[in-house]
Amino acid sequence: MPSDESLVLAQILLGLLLFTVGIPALIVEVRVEEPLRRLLHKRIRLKPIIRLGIFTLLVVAVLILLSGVDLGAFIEILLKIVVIFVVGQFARVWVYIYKNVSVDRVIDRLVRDITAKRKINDPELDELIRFGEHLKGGEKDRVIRVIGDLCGRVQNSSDYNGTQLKELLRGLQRVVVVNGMLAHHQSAYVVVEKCWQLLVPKKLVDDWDGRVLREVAGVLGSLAVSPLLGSMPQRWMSAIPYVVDVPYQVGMAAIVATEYRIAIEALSRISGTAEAKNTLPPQLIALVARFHAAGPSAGRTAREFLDKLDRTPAAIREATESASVEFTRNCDYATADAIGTFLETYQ
Amino acid sequence: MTRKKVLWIEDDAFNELGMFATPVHLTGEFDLEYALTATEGVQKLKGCEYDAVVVDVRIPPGDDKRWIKIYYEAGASNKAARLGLRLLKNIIGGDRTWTRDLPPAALDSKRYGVLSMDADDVRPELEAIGAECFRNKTDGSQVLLALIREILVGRNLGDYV
Repeated sequence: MPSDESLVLAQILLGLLLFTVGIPALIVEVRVEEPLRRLLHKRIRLKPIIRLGIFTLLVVAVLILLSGVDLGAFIEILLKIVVIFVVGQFARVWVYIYKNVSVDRVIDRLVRDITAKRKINDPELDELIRFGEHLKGGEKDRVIRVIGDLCGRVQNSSDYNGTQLKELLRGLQRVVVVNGMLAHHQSAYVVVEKCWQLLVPKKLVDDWDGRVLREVAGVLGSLAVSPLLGSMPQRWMSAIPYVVDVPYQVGMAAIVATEYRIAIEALSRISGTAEAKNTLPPQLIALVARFHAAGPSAGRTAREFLDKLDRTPAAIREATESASVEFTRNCDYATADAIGTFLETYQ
Repeated sequence: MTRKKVLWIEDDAFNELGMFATPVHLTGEFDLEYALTATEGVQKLKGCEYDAVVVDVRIPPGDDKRWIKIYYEAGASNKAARLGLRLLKNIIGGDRTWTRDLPPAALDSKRYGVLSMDADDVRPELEAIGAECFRNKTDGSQVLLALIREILVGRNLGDYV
């Protein structure tokens, strides 16, 4: 093989090898932050790329060793075919790396994998959620919307029985809890509201998914009690109507943060539910007691909600005593003590 | 006493939602629901019968492509697009291009009121479509409550005067 020709081919192969190793690594370093980088690296299978690298080095060595040696036309053509084959393999590697470095493409592939197996608690879902946790801005929002689409698919399937959303909903919560901004809360709110609305006509609100939805709304609503998130706590309280646990969780977080406007809305919602269902839920007593503990004017305001329920003082006393027992049993001593103090002053 | 169901379509651009809603909640007389966009407002009106609906003039479009198109045609500005007004025109003004599938109760003009920074500016347009209750957001923190009561009195559903 002519010396200059074989050395040029060796140079091309070496150049391609360095480019393939260096450039994608540089792109990933520049574009992607650390936790996400690890996830992306995990998605790239290195073994085939290492094998290609070793093979390329072998071909380069052969080309250098055989430069200037007369091999005959057939062997030379064969060597050139091998070089073309290696170049083709590099092209495949670039496409492969590009597909796995683009977050949008990764999300698309994960969704395809999840839906292809028709099984939700797959490692792919876990990976999608871990991506969602570490992404920001529109990319995080995309993951939330994708989770919403998956929830919709599960709920619209004929075998849906009110228990298959748990993993998706917990994932949604995780994605929003880690660095979730207002837009992410709003998107997650839409998902939760839609899921709940699909549970209602199927009479599945008391099954697992209904409970998890209430938990997610409560957790994200409490988290939203922040000046940066505007009216999100109020929105979360309205995501699931006529339940007491979501406004209770949000209301308690609001009292701790001295955001009394939010806490008043929680109280209004709980008392509305109590009125509609003709009950005196312990959460209502607890929230009233917490208002009472915050000071006389807060206590008087909260007491008015209790008075409007048209219950006898004896009934309220009885409900307060049983609420105190319940919160003590649940080791929520601060609330139990607040209820105890409220009971002492209740007339 | 059964609580009255109220929908407030309001984007909360200046975090005024908490300020205006608190007096409403303090009465313990209303179940107040929120919709932040035109799309969400229409969805909520389809899903539930409200005793009163309060609409802001400047609201964002939400996910519905038809609202998004109008919003962008108006220069991608809530102020210019005035989607709240367009929503009202669609529902109670006879131009029901996008709100055909609303339940009959949602088409009753007496249920609607406008609470906005632009209430005075759009007064003639509101009157032309039969909306009678409108107030300015600058009228104090009790303004939402007053507007809701005005709507309910107009429908003979309350005695708040």
